[in-house]
Amino acid sequence: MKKGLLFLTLLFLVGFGCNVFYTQKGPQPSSQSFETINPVAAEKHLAFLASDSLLGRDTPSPGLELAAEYIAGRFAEYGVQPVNDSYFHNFNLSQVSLGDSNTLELIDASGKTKAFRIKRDYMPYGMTANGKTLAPVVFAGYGISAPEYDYDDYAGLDVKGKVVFVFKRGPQQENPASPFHLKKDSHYLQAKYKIDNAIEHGAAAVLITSDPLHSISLKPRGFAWPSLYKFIPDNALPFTLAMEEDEKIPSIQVGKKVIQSLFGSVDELKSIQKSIDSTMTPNSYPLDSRALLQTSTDRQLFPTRNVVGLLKGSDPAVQDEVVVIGAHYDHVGFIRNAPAEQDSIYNGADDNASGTTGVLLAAHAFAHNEIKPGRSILFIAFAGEEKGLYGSKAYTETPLFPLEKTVAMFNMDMIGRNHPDSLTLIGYKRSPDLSKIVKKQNKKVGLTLAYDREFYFGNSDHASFARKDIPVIFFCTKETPDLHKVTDHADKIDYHKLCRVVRLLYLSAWYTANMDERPVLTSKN
Amino acid sequence: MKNLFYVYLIILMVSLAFSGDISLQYKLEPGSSYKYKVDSSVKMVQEMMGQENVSDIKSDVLVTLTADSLKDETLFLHAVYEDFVIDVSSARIDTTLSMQDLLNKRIKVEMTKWGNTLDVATIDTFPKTQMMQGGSDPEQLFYRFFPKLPVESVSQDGVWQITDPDTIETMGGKVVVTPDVEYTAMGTETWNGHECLKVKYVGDLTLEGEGSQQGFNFFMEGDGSVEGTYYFDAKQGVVVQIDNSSTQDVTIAITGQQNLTIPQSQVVSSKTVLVE
Repeated sequence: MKKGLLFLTLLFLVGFGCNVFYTQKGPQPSSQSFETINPVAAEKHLAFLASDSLLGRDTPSPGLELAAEYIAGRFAEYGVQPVNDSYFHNFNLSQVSLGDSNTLELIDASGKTKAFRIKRDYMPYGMTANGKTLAPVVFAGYGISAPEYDYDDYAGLDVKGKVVFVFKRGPQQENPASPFHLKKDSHYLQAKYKIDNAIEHGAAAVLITSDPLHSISLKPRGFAWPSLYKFIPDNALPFTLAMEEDEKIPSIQVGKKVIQSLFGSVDELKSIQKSIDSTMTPNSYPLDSRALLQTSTDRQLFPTRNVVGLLKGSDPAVQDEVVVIGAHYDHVGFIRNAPAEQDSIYNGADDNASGTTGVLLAAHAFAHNEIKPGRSILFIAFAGEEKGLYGSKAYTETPLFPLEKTVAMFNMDMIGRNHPDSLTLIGYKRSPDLSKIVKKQNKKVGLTLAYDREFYFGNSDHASFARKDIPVIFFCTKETPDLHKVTDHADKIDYHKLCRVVRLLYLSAWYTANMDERPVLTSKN
Repeated sequence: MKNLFYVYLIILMVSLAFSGDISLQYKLEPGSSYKYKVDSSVKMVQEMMGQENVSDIKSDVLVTLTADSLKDETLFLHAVYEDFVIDVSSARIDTTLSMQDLLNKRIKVEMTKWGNTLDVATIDTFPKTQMMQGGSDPEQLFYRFFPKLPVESVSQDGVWQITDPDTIETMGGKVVVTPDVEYTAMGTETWNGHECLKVKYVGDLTLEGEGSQQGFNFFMEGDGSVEGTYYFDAKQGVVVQIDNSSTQDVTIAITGQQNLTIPQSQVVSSKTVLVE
């Protein structure tokens, strides 16, 4: 009997040891907190966030600001704390337009100057600097330094203070065996890399040309500045995240006439390119010309805000670690100049007033417990998701808590539609630990979990955290025919379902905040 | 005497001008059907925010055109796709799509006897996927399916220009394509069992337009060139084969739900053959 008991005890301990990672420790969520996640509260939040008065919560817009104030107000009401005395994490979006002073001239060995025309002969890149330079031109092949492939166009080349001329793409781009094969989508092939590498080598400016052997057009395209086109409206300029300025140099794409001026003919450049490609050996050298190059842009900044709230953890050993619960609160605005009788507002009830409501309900539930989980919980409502995940990118570039102390990120985006029992988990392959936790907690909630939208992994804010090696899991009840349409209305939301999804997230995040160990991310791509 | 000379000269010129001249018109007989195989390939380069995307798109299409009626100078046809396969290859996507939902659905086409498309509309609705946009739009294909023919008769080595703009309805808007294309008749020859006038063409085109779809406003501006050869059976009034190649450099801008400006270049080659 004793032996038997000992055996059973050992079995239990072995089992416990294997399972220790998933064993709940520390304080448990109260049943009262669970009840704060209810359809009445959900409908109240969502009705405001998806109301016509917010005009579709475009980033940036006054409607988005109203939504931000509402979210911050609820955080304060629930007792969720501000971070650094603020409920807002501020960042800027920018729109860059073409400035007035853009010129390109080449001066040959005899001192003869040839001036070129913008759009026809050259085009400044969107990432060009405001600057002017007069310097010798150096041909630097494809502008690639890839030691892992034993390939360096800059080897033995002095480009300090000079203007480099490089091809787009890479050598043997059509050979599947080449590391620079087009389909490999290597960063070495992108203009941004070529400009950064030129800066790294001390270049003063960079001229990039479509490679004459393979390109279907030698026209300088680069960036389509609306001011250079008759039909392209100024408001087509894309928003970009305005973080601390990267180092920049004048960077332009050049066309056929510039090639002819520097190399005599396009065919001459083709033969040089053929030689590089056939041997995979760089053939860089100084040219006889100097370039006088000036580029200018005007940048307009748009202050934008994520909304943040903190629930401080109860375990002194790990309370400096945070579990993030997030959702984007922006949507895509409204149709301008629509007829008065037409519904023109993208209310974005499911996308993503539902997820934002989820953050508020979770914040309320966590705050409702007298005893808090061990780790801290950081609630974030992101702006700018629809424009390109800008809010979450801004957060992960300038985090309020060190990223190495950020244990996991739970994201909700579209959680209120489709079958009453269905929930899709995205990121389960990359974050198997979080996936297992959610699956285990789901025994208390009873949703039917699906795993069929992994191809959406890059499409919402969790992806910004995954890129920084933080384990993520994305809760989504899948797209509907109303996605990004004016018909995405609050009356189509299943509030009972939404609450079940949030309860599952609440339990899973609570569990994660109390685990001994940290979950892992197996792949960030 | 002098006046008679001029009269003689005019008669000579007129008679020379009309000797062997060919009237090119579509004469698709109501009730008759024409099956075409269209193979095309597009190499497209887009640049967005400093990132270049290169795509190769190939499509194989089998389409039957049935002439329904002829009223005044307008031909009323309907088209039915029997096969429509698109193969897309790029760094981000590599897939073959068979457009099953599109097959056996009718599309109405109205055109003049000289190949000016007046209207294209679906008769049997089908779900439009994202792949059915722009050049792969099953309706748009018919805006330029038939070569435009000269209204006047042409000689076997005649040269003519076509500069009338086409208005193509696509993506909730209109794109105006203005050609400046020179056509040269190269004489007659038997081609695929038809006695055909061989016509070579070369020229430029400009594109501009705008539209709005699902909250996105789009704008397009650009230019390009076109060249090719077609074989036209003037007796039956039917085009037997078209070998076409074109290049385009356009700038596409999007506003509304998203803001983007996209420079795009593409090279298109296609072969259209009357198979039945």
